[in-house]
Amino acid sequence: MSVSEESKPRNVGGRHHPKLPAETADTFYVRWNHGRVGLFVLLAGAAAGQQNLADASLEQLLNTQVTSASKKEEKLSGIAAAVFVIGAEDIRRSGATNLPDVLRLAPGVDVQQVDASVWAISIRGFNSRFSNKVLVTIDGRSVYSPSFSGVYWDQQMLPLQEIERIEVIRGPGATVWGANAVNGVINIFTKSAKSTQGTTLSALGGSQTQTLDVAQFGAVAGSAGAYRVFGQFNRIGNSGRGANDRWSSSHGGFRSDWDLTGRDSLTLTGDLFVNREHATIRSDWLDSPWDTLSRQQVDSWGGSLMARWDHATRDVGQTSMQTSYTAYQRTEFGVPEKVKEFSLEFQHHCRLGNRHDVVWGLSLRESSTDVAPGYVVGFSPPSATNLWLGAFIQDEIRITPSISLTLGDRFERADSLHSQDEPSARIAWMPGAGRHTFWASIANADRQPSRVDTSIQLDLQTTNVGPNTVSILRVVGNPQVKNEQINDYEAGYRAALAQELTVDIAGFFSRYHDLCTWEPGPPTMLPGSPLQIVAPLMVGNLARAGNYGGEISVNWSPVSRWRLRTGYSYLHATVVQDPSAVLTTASVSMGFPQNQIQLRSLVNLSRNVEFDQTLFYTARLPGGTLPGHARLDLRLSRRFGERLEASIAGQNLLRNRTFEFGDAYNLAAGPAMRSVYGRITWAF
Amino acid sequence: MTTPGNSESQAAGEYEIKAAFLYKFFSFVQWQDDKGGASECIGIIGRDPFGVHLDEAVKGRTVNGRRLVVVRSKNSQDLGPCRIVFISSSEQKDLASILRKLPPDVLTVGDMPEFCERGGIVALELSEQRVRIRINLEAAQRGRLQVSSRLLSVAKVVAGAIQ
Repeated sequence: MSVSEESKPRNVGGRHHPKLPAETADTFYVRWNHGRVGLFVLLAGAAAGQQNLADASLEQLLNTQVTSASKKEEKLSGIAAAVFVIGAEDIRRSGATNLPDVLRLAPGVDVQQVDASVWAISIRGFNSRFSNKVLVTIDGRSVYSPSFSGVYWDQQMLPLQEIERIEVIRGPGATVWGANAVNGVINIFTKSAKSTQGTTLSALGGSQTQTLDVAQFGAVAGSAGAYRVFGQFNRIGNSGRGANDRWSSSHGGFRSDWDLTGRDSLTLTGDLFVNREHATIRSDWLDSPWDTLSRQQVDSWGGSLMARWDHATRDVGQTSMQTSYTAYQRTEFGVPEKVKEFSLEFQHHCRLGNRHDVVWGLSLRESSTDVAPGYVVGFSPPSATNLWLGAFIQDEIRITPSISLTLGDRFERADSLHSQDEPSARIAWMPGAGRHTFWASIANADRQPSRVDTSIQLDLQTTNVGPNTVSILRVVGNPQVKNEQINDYEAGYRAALAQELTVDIAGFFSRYHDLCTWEPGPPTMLPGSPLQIVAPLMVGNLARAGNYGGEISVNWSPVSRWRLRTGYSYLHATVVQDPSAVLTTASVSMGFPQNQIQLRSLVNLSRNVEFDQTLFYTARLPGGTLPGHARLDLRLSRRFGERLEASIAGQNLLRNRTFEFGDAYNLAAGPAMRSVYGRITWAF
Repeated sequence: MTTPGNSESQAAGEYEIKAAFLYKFFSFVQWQDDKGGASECIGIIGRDPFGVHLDEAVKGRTVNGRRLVVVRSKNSQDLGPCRIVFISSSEQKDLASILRKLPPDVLTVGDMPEFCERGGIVALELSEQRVRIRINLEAAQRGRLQVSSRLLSVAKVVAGAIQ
């Protein structure tokens, strides 16, 4: 027997064959670890694709934190924040074919389809196509664009079966995750290459998502490493006859995980995508003699590389270093935009004595954005490079065995104008052997101005006002614009009332300062032919808001083969303009429903047959014209042995077509369509 | 940015971790003679604290090409064929006699107080919410067990009785 290196018994004598994920218990228990892991998740029962502890290295085992001394307490969840975790099993059984539809599963996340390739997604308000108050990461790499402060969801079409879990944190998370985590953080983690070995082919065909083909291959590389590669092609049809929002996406990538030594591990990921999309522009915004609807094309391509090195120190601490590079080019409505971003981060997590669990870190992020001049939308200057530096520290202090206090602060600096600190304090009390958790928190966070805020030149309207004279209504970026800020107060209660019944309740009150607005400035005349009279709308910080609300989620499993999951969220938002405002056009978006409900039922009809139903209800948007709407998704799947699964699913079954959001800026809305698809997944 | 996730679980129940260690020890300890047979076993004497975790940890595993099984017994004689025997805290009073009855080349593992000091070979202790390893190296040498330097480098070697 080898004593030099741990043996890998699973792979001895042949390749480890993949199996389709089997039915697993999926109640999540989450702990705040605020270390490089941020949060970690325990599954009751082995999760599909999750690494077995027996496969961990000796050092990993030594570093594995014991959740509790007794089995009961193992089910405790002591994090002092509003968290919801979407696991691989949830994703598979949702029948979703894209990331935005998966995010609908988290109560409190508002997902509205704008057209077939565009979504408005936010948490706790301020939703719009360009919603900018939620930070999103994939394997620790931010996909929050520095050019417009938000996420191009159509550029994040990763194969859903690669996702191990999605942690959704509602409320500010800036102390740990950094700026722009104002209303929440969405952290997406892909599976380790060690747990995705073998070949998986999946083909989907349907009425709306016409094609979604995924090929994935994974294998071990020597005794210490594993890798996988994937390719995905996705084609989505027009939202009904006459609509023009069809699109296609090709996406390929890899992930590789290596144990360098017993204490060091390395993860490398990379991907490339190419998208081609169609969209309809409602041009009555622009006073033009042409038709009010015009067809446009959006082309984008890009990629990313990420490397992370984790080291377990001898004193049970951990350090990690992560670097990533993301680049994309997007030509939307004829305007080419190039974005490159580099980031480097260091974190150290250690224990000081018996009571202190400390994590601190440093980060550097540099981005360059470039929008070619001469279009309706542009940046002035066209190119810019921005550098952000950050440092944070957080200490979880165990005051008594059942009470812990977490204090932290982050300092970030963009340039001489934009620096901020983002402190937070959280307290958790876990009486009753950890079955109940009461928590409360106070936190501040900032949204850093993006290029859109500092440098945009957007011509909203061009009007002929006389012979050879035009008047232009132009939004003008403001280099002096300030950070948007939130002071947030939250409290919550979480309990495992019984093995099969868990409850999570959170409430919040948030005050926002310096929200971005458009304020009219004095007109200027630009000589030339034609003579241009520019009426500027300057970006400013002349709005405030006070929002409150809450979310409830209840999971109940009446019998082992039937699971019910329910969620409800409420939001009351009050946005007011600052007394100093003359005439504020709030660009702060109010597109967020007051009430949202979801009901999910996951039934195992037999050992191999699953029947899953999801019903969402979204109330009418305040001030909006769209009615409240319900959405029903169904999925029926049959497993044939361990290698083959076939499923059929219906989405939006209640109505032919549902306009969820309405027009977004000048993008004409496309409805979510009633659709059906069939899918076959084969693992070998 | 920040807080990249680790795909491996970072927290687990105490006995889930200890079960993984029991399996892991096959890789870090070398036994002098082959006991033969179609399977290798991990024995448990006394009240089983592992629940399902040990069975899950060894499920489908092989050691030296042999199937790995878990054997539970009150009686130490039944566990003679096992390479690794976990002695439950329920047997605290009888530890000395159990250790005497087991063959010396059985890697005895326990988590009762003073396990190594009283003659056991490997103690799994809880400290700062982690499982720590203590090894009574003299007892291991008496059974002619070779403990790998990697295991020793992460364990605390303690002096203890030799039964």
